[in-house]
Amino acid sequence: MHAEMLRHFRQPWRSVSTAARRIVTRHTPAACRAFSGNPDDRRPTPKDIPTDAEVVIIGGGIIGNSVAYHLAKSGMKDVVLLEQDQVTAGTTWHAAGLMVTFGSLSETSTEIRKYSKQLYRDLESETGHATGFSPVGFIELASEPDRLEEYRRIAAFNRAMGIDVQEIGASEVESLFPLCRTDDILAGFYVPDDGRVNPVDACVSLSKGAKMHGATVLEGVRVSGITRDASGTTVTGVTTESGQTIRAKKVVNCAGMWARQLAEQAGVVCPNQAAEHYYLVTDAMPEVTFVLPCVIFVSIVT
Amino acid sequence: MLSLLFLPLKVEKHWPVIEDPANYTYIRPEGEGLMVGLFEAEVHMWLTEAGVRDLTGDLKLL
Repeated sequence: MHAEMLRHFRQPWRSVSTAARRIVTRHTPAACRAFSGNPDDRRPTPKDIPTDAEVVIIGGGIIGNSVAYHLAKSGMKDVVLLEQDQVTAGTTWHAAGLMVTFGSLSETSTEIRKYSKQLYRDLESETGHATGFSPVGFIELASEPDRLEEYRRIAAFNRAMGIDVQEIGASEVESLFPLCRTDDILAGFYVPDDGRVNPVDACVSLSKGAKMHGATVLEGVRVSGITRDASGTTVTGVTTESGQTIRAKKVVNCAGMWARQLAEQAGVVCPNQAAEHYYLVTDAMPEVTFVLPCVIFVSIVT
Repeated sequence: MLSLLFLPLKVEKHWPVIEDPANYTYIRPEGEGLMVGLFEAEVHMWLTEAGVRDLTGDLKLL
């Protein structure tokens, strides 16, 4: 049934495309451009590219910039990040930016979530660039008995790890999000200080922090391959499409949806495959009755 | 099942993010409107044959 519902979402794909254009208009990352300096002249010249590095990080999305930030902050010298286009230009740019600590039965994952929230809250004071963290709250809905049982177990575990997750009733869900139809909702699991971040700003802030701690972030440098020693088992660096080689003790593959093919070139299996995901962004909604995506949504649900 | 009512309500920026896993959906205020995210119930791979390597890094206009 869900697959049937979702098939309908694919058909009005002009609407998706229109929405995407609106996002471009709204979100063309000025912060990103400012960060990059002159957008027409941001390709590094060969002399900008170092010949040696302790670590080369491939990919200037949220993961690559986070790795660069944390390595540089921990004191590592000669951290070099290579981005093939522009920081955040890949899939990070399309991320929903949901900041949610509730929902994992892994202690490690839960600690990372808690740390991330703190980091996104504090990063502006360190880098001067806000991440857009907005603790508006986050509600996970349980509309089926099995889901309710699952979420109660997770909530108990998460509370033991210090997350303030509250089980709330349908009426409270409605008071927090008045556009939500709640007649079949069994419960909501609400974390008041979760919420969202702006993925572009979070990425730019991490990148700025990485540079402040001494990392080199180069945009417009596309990696063509990973070099190995004669035995073939030890990474020695990377080559770029412009024909340069950077020797490095370690190479970190943070290439996101490009990661699998990049790893394949080095004989490494990286089980990572891009999958489809849609999102719609409406125009301003002074009144909900004006908004087409809501009409689509309701018609599909029925 | 989460759906939207036709009420003369203004979207408020302070509304929380709301996720409805049974319907593979999340919704949150975005600007003056809403962002509606739709997960696939059955995963559909993207670019399995051509590969993504041929794309440039700039996905902003996709």
